Amino acid sequence: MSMVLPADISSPDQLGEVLLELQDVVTAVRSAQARTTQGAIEPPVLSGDLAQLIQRTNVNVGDIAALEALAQDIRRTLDTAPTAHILLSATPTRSMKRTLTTWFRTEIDPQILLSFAARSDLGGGAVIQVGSHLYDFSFRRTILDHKSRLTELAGV
Amino acid sequence: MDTTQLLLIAGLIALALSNVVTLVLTIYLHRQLRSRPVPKHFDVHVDGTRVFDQQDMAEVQKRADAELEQAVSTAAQQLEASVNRGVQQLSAHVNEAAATSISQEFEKYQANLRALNNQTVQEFANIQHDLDEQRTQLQQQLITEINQERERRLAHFNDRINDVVASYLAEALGNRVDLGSQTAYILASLDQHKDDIKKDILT
Repeated sequence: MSMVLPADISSPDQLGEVLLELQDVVTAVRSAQARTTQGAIEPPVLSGDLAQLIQRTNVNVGDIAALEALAQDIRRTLDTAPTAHILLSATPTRSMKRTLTTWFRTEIDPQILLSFAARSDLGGGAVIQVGSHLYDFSFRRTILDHKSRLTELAGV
Repeated sequence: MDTTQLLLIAGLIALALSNVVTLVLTIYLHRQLRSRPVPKHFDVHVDGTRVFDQQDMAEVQKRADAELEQAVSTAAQQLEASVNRGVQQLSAHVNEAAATSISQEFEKYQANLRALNNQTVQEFANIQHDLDEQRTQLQQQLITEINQERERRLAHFNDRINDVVASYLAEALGNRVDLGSQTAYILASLDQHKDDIKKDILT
């Protein structure tokens, strides 16, 4: 079983929270199965992110082994997945994060994890840090690369 | 005074001395002639047998005096001519020697002057060359310093302009940034550098 990360889980922190929640779910399911004698247990309440992950990975919530395998996958992903840091001119919305995450997982790597930050003096655009390289697509960089046109900003 | 001049002066002195000697000798001989003892003569009056009478004797004496005067005059003229010739020759020799000496000294002076002129010209040429070299060096140094100062000021300006632009953007946009409208631009930029980003991820 290979884990399929949903676009809503973009950052390592989010995935870490999902892992913690999954571990709690495993514990809860195990306890519930130990208490009941009828076989079927009430499915636990899952967060949206964990629910999407379980659904996309086609894991049965009542299957402890599958859940533990999924947890293992998550740990492995957290240890080995490539990461990129994205600096935007404002805090991104969930939709924005989803869009960027979809692009990275489609074009770059399906397991890539992204972290987001905001810095208002960028003006717009983004600064992407991948490994030791920095890709500056910000409006500030564009303005500084065309200093001769600075006066257009002031309307002169 | 060089040897030639000394010889000429000595010759002139010798010539003058010889003329003086000649004159003295002439005068001496004249005196000798006058002071020669007169032989005694006895008046022999033989009438009718006198050789010279007193008138003839006076005449002879007069002619002898005249001839003597003539001889002295001639000797004096010859002496005068000889002295004049000697003086003229001495004067010519002195003038020639002076001219030669002056001419040589003048040529030496001219040669020294030419040499000094050439040396001065060469010295000035060297000074001019040194000045040109120094001016070129100073110009190069000035250009280098100007370029360094310009680079320093440009770097300082660039540092400041970064801060100015960042402050302007932060102040102008504030919290009015619309990320949604920037999505297409960001995705287009990512597409442009997709291969590089992928290479960085995989390495």
